[in-house]
Formats: sequence, structure tokens, C-alpha cells
Amino acid sequence: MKYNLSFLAIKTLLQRIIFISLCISAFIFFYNDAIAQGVKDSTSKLSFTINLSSLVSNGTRTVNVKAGRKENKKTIPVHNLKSPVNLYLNEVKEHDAVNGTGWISKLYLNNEGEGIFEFPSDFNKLTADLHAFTFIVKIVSDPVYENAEEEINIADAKINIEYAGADSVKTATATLLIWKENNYVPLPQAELKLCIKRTFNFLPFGEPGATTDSAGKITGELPLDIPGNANGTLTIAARLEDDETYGTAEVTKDVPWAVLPKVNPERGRTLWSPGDNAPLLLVISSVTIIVIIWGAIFYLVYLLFKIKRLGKAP
Amino acid sequence: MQEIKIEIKEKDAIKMLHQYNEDLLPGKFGRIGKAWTAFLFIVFLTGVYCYINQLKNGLIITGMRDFVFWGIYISNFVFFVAISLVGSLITAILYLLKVPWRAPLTRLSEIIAVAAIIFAGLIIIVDMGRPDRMLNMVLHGRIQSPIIWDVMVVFTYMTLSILLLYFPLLPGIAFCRDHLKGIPKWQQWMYRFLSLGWKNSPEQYKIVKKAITILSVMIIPVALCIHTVTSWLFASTYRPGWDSTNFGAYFVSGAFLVGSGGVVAGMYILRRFNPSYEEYLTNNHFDRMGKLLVLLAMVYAYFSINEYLIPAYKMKGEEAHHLNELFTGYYAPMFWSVQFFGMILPIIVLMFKKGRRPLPMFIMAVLVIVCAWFKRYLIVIPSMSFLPVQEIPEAWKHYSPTLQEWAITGGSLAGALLIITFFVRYFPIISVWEVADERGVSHDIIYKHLHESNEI
Amino acid sequence: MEEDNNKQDNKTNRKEFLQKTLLAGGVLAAGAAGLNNLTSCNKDSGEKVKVLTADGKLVEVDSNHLNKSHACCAAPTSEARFGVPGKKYVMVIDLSRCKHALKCQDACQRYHHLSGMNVWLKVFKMHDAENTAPYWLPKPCMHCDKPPCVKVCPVNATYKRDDGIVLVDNERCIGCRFCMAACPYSTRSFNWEKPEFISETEGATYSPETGFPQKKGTVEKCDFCPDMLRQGKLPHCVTACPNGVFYMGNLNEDSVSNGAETVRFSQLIKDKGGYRLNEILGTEPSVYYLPPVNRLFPFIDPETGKEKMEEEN
Repeated sequence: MKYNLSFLAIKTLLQRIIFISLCISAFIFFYNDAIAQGVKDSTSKLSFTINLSSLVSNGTRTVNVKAGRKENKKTIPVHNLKSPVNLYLNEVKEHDAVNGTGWISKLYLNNEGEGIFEFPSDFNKLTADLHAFTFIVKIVSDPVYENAEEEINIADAKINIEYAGADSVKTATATLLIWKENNYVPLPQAELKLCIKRTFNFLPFGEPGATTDSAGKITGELPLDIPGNANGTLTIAARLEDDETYGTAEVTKDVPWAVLPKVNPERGRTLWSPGDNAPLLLVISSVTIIVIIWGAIFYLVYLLFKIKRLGKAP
Repeated sequence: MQEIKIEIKEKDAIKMLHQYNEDLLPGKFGRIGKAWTAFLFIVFLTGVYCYINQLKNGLIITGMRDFVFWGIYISNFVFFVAISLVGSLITAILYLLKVPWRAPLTRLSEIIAVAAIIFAGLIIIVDMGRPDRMLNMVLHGRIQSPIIWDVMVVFTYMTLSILLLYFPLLPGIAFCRDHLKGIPKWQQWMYRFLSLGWKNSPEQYKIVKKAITILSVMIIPVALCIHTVTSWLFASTYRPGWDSTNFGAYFVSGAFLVGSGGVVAGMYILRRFNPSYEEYLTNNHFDRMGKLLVLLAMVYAYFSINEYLIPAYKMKGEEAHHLNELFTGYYAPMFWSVQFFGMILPIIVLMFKKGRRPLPMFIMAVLVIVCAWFKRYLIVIPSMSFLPVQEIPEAWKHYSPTLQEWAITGGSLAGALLIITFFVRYFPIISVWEVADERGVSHDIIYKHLHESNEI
Repeated sequence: MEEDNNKQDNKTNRKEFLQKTLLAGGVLAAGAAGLNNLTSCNKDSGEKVKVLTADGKLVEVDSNHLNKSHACCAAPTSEARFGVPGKKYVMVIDLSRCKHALKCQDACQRYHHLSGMNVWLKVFKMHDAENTAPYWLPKPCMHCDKPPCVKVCPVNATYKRDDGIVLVDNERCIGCRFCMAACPYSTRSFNWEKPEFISETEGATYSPETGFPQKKGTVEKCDFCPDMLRQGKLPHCVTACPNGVFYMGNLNEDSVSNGAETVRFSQLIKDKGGYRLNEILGTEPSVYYLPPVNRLFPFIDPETGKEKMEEEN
């Protein structure tokens, strides 16, 4: 009896579950498009993020825009945003041709949602007397991401780098100066990094975690055995990275101290070379074999013609 | 049996020649022959149809995937190359050794070789993902690649085999040209075209004999190359079961065995459907071939033991996994039946004189051929299933050929058999002048009277 | 007073500047509209954009300086045969940091538009013997210096470049799959059917440096993202990994970077005991591994959801 009851209970429960799930699937089936559309619109508008950063490298300023949207707690790059983003300088958010505003460029983001605006040299000259920048990036005409915007304020920072030393000790010293009351003054206690420019990134040298002294200076010892470029020069850099106030600032300098780099070996005649660079012994032996065998084959074909000629003769 | 050439009187000799010519003239097929041809045609066309489908959809229609990326196309290729080696064995090696009973077998073995090597070339194209880019092998070929060696050596062997078939065939074609009556026009034209104006002159015979000698010497190294290079396609990799220095010899010995099996099977079928061949493919020939098969099977057994026993003694990591799969694992039933029926049983049966009679010989030959096909399967496929089986779908772990793949492979086998069948239908499958020569008819009589038939 | 003057100057300068910027910007917009279809970057596109200078002169600037788009940086087929001059790329994989998050694989699949079952970067559970500790092994292409796959290619479709990368030219490959047989690391996969494409990438021009669009009946594999390397950017698996497992660098300048940190290659290998896979084969891989010691994460088997040690106790 007990068994029967529980069995019935399970049966009804199952029936209910099936019924409800059928209803849900029907609902999803018919309203799938509408739901998907709604969800997509609302979430992407809400979670759209733009990352704006500024880099000044040897006096040339670059603004980087990176757009993404949050989905399931992951930031996914915005793929192929069809409409461009607008980049403004100094607090003006609208592109207003009549009144003269600070709209500087229109950027099309690439597949990874990235766009780079590097100040052309003339642009750099124009901004030489500006010591505080406000960059604003805004998407205007996109139906999904409309009105997404981001703004950063960057103050001017300047770095000098010098090097000194002999054979056994080689040092580099960098000074960090910031614009304060119409003057460049040293900035102490800043995490200015000394590093060597490498293919992908900057290889730090000197004492790890060191900060600038009261004169805004930092000194580090260069490794003696570091390979540079083929001329024996090494590009060293001093970098202030992702600073809240100053963004990223860097300066580079070539120093004639490097160990010569390893050179890629010559393309030799190897088994893994292209066909025209095969090992000579292999080429010679195979050509010899082919010539002998096919020479004989052509002779045999000639014999066939000879038989035919004999056949024609009376 | 005719170790010493017996002087035959001219009159008898001429009579013999006439008799041979009459017996060995190709003729129309009977009902079974026609049904056989139709059957082969259907199988072949099914294969062609499936191949067209493969061209459209890609190799996805096969059972191959990233894990087991070579399947029965490749094992079938190896089988074809193997069986084609018989041409060089019977025609060249036995010729140079002056073995006195070889003459009636030469053309049969040579047409098997030609048919097999043609389809070896075709099946390897079937296996290619991009057959439309075949020309790249010429435009961008790399002499460092064993595939290029294989392509060159297959092409060379094909040319040599065709020449070795063609030169001794010239008198036969000429005879068909002049004596086959009531044949369609295209057939007349074919004989006329192929006979190169043969008129049985001693000069022409001299050239043919010279060519056969050159070819017999040349084809032996090329034949060894073709199967050795084919084995290198596997041996030049790092995979267990393939990474072997024994592979060339192992492949060649196996190839001689299956090729001889093919000739024996062909002999039996010819005799069975055309009793007049019994005079030429005698019980004695079966006996001799039986002894040869035992010898070849023993050589093959020797190399097989080398191939499996020494790695099994060491049981090196990956090698052990591979061998366990073969000896006791997934492939064990196939492995042991192939070893037993394809090698051990034929050795035992053919040791006895009674075992070397035509019928048991035929059964053993068929066993050898079928087992040889599956042996190639066991050489090619299990070597690809040793890797860490991770991150791949369950369905990829074990390879089983799809129906279409079987159809294409079956089509290639049918195609090769079709070539042989058509050859038997239109050309003399036993060379009259070589048989006469072997049986002691002097050259002068052959030159003079070969071209006659009884009606004249 | 002087200060005031200065300020005044600054103000007028700034106003002037902004007005001129506007003009320049207007022209920039016109130029920028055409920038979407760049075929190669870091090189002058030939497209000029007019920019107004402070002294009222119009100057021409190459449009590539204004918007660098790098989805298009793969070199054409002929150029892709030689590689980036002077570089010798090398990868270091730190096994002590891998926890099988598979972010590397996700990124790889996405950026290479891999469809179907083709997975270039696999992460294997390594547990070869009963009493050894299991660990995760991410396995890209080893880009061997003596590559067995390149040795056997009949048509030079797969090739070794001067910068160490082994690539496949899918427009030349004949699909014989010999390279798959030869590769002792089993890194190659084959396009058994016509690959499915995502609509957004339709009409892309093929380059061996991206391997995209994939071609039916040809072999493909991990390529070290040479289109990224060409721009001095790290491959996608390196940047996607949350734990800094992958380091990529230039062996000639003795430095590798995982994005967050940049270290000397020789020092890293020396300190952590780096090694290469199957050194016994003599293939000389370009990928180095750091042994799984002092691990950041416990090994958790995804099947049982348990740590290895727990399981035994």
C-alpha cells in the first residue's frame, strides 16, 4: 500500500514536471526570438565597457581604446563593431562643427575591440603646450552600444634617462618630472621602472620595487651579458606604468653596451629545407639513379621503334 | 622437368607450335566469364560513384579522423604494391636463374604486376585530401620526402612492368592480328596498332630477347626499391610498430609471398575455365610453385619473427602498448588468424606432396592473399592508436572503415581484376614462343613457323 | 603680470588649437573611413590624410599612423615563408602554474576561427605511472628546429622559417597526411570536410600566418600566431592564460614574457630546471617546459572533481 502511494505520488509529480517543461519549451519555442533580442539589448548596454589609456613615449602620445562587454562574468572583446568610436580631447563630448570643439578622431575598432590613436607629429607639436589632457571616447551611432562613453584625465609627466659606466659596472639613471605650476618638478616615491626593450615587452633591471628619490631619480645596474641588436646597441627605457594621474609614460635610449645577439644559422642544405636546398649527396645520388634507369627505359622505347621499322621493311 | 633441352624433330616441332597456337588463342568468354566481368564492373562503378561522393564532401565520408588518419586506402595501397612485386620475381628472377618451368607463368605474373601497380597509383590518389593539387608534386617536389621517392619509383616500376609485359607479347599480338577471325573492327585495329608491324623476323626476335634481358636485370632493383620505399613511408616515422629497421626486408618478403599466391590462384582459375590450359599449367607447375611458396612463407616467417619478437622482448613503453593490442588486445583475433592462415598453415599444407595438388594449392593461395590484405591492415592501422587518448571524441578512438570506404577499396580491387580479366579475354595469357623455346623447339623453327596456324 | 600674459597666451593658443584640431579632425574622419580594409600594417598604406598644422599649413600623414588595426597583419604567402628577420621565437610553459582552466584553448579556437573538432592547443592530463603525481600539460606545436614533419612533406607545403616557426601553406598542401604520421607530438589536425566559417570573417584573404580561411583536405596546426608576433604582440594563448603559464620570447635576445612579467630566458630555465619534451628524438623543439614543482594549484581531476591525494586517502 505504502509502495503504491509513493508510486502514485511519483507518477503525478512526473506528470506535472513533464507538463510544466512542455509549457516552458513551448514558450521558449514561440518567444525565443523576442527573449533573445530583449536579453541581448539590455545586457550588452549595461555591461559595455571601454578601457581608455594614454601612453606618451619619447614625447609622442598615443591613446588606446579597448571595448568589451561582460558576459557570464567574462569580458569579451567586441567583435567588429560596425560603427566607429569618437575620440575627443578636453571635456567636449559632442561633435559640433560650428562652435569648434575637441573632436580629434574617429576610430574603427579591430576584431579584438581595440583601436589606437597615435598623435601625428604635427599633432604632437600642437599639443606641446598642453600639460593636462582629458580624453573622452564615445560611441554615437551604434544601435546596441549607443552612448557608451569613457573619460580619462592625464597629467603631463616627463622622463629623462642617462647612462654611465665602464666595463665592469654599467648603470642607468632616470629622472621623473611632472608639470606643476608652470614648471617641471621632480616626483619622488614613484615606481619608475628601468628596463630593456625586448621583442614583446620590457625586461626590468636594477633593484626590484625601487622608487624615485627626492630628486625624482632612480638608478639601476645593467646586466653585463644581455644581448642587444646586431650593432651591439641596447634600447633601455624608463617607464611609469599605468599611473592613475599620468597614464603610462616612457622614454627610451640606445646604449652601445650590448653583447652581440645569437644569429640565426644560415639556411643550410638539410633534410628539412625546401626542395631546392636538399643535401647535395641526396640530390646527386637520386639524379644519378634516375638518369641511369630512365636512360635505359628510353633505350627500350627506342628498341620498340626499331622493331616497328623492321616491320615496315620489305 | 625438362632440365636438358631435347632435340625435337622439325616436323614434330612444327606440329607442337601449331597445337600451341590453337590452344592458346584468346577467345570469347562463356557465361561465367561474362557474369564475372559484369560483377567486377558493378563493384568498380560503385567504387567510382563513392569516390565522386568523396571528392564532393571530402574525406569525412571515411572512417579516418585525426587520431587514425590513414586507413584501408593506405593498407590497400601497400597490398597492391606487394602483389605487384611478383612480376619481377617470376619474370625476372626466375628468368635470370634459367628456371626451366617459368615460361607459362611469366605473362600471368606480369599482368598481375601491371594491374596491381596501376591501382596502387590510383588508390594513393584516392587517399589524398587534395587530388586537384597533384601537380604540386612536380612543381614544388622535395627530393627529401619519401613520398616523392615512392611516386618516382612507382611510376618507374609501372613503366618497366608494362615494357616487360609488352616485349614478349609482340609475337602474340601479331598472331591475333593475323589469325583471329570475325572480330570487331576496333579489336582488329588494336592488334594492328599494338603489334608494331611484327613479322616474326629473326632481327625482331633478337631485339625482343635483348630487351627482355635488360628489363629482367633492371626490374629487380626497382622492384626491391618500390616495396622498400613503401615500407619507408612508415619506417621513417617515430611511431611504434613502424619505427623499424627491418621493415624493408619484411615488406619485400611478404610481397613475394602474396604475389606468388596471386599467380597460383590465377593459374588455377585459368585451368578451371579453360581445360586446354592444363597442357601448359601442369600439375608439375603447381608442385613447383608450392615448393616456392613454402620457401617464401618461411622467409617471411623469419622476418616476421624479427619484426615482432625482439620488440616484444624489450617491451619498450609505447611499443609494448602496440604489441599488447596485437598479441592479446583489440587486434589479437585478426593478428593470430592472419599469422596462422596466411603463413603457418600454408607452410604445413604445402610441405606435403598431396598438398601441392591444384585444389589445395588454390585454397592455400587464396588464404595467403586474403590474409596478406588483412596483414597490411594490421601493419598500418594499430600503429596510430598508441598515443595518449585524450581530448578526442570517443568515436575517433577506434577506426572502422565506412561503407563508402569499403566500396572505394573494393572498387579498386575489382578494377585491378578487370584489367587482368580483359587481358585474358583479348591477349594470349601464355606466351607460345617462350613455351616452345622452353620445351626445346629451336629458334629457327620458331621464327619460321610460329606465325602459322593449323588452318594454313 | 607676465604670468597673466602667459595664461592669456595659453588660453588663446588653446582656443586656436582646438579650432584647428576640429579642422584636422574633419579631414581625419574622411581618411579614417577608408581604414577598415587595410591589408598590412606597420607599412605605409599609401593612403594619405591631410592634417592642419599650428602655422596653418596642411601636411599629409599616412593613414596607418592614425589607426593601427592588427587583425590584418598576416604576411602574404610568399613573405610568410621567411619569417621575421633576426627573431628566434621560443616558448616556455610553466607546468607548476597550470590548473586546466583552458582559457588558452578557448582563445586559440576563437582567434583562429577553428571549426569542428580541430583543436590546436590541447591540455593533457599526465599521469603515466601509478606512483607519480598527475599534472596538466598544455601542448602546442613544438616548432622543432629539426622538424620531422617538414622533412617528409612532398611539396614543401609545411616549412621551417628562419625565425623558428613551422607553418603550413594550406593552398599548397595536397593532403597526404604524412606530416601527421611523422610528428612525434601529434599536434597536427586535418580538415576532413569543408570547414564552417563564421559569417563575420567571410571574404578574408588567406595567409599561412593565420591559417584562415581553412581549406578542405589540408593539414593545419598551432602556428605560434605569427600575425601577432609580426606586430611584437604575444600569441593569444599567452595573453589569455589567467595564471601566466605561457611565456613567449625571442631566444636571440634571451628574454621571454608572459604578459605580466618579463624575464631572462636563460635565467628562468636555469632557476626552474627547464627541459624539452622527448629530447631523445633529436627534434630540438622550440617549446620548453618548467617542471610541475611547488604548484600554484592542487591537481583536481575533472572527472572525479577531487584532488589526487584526497582520492587515495
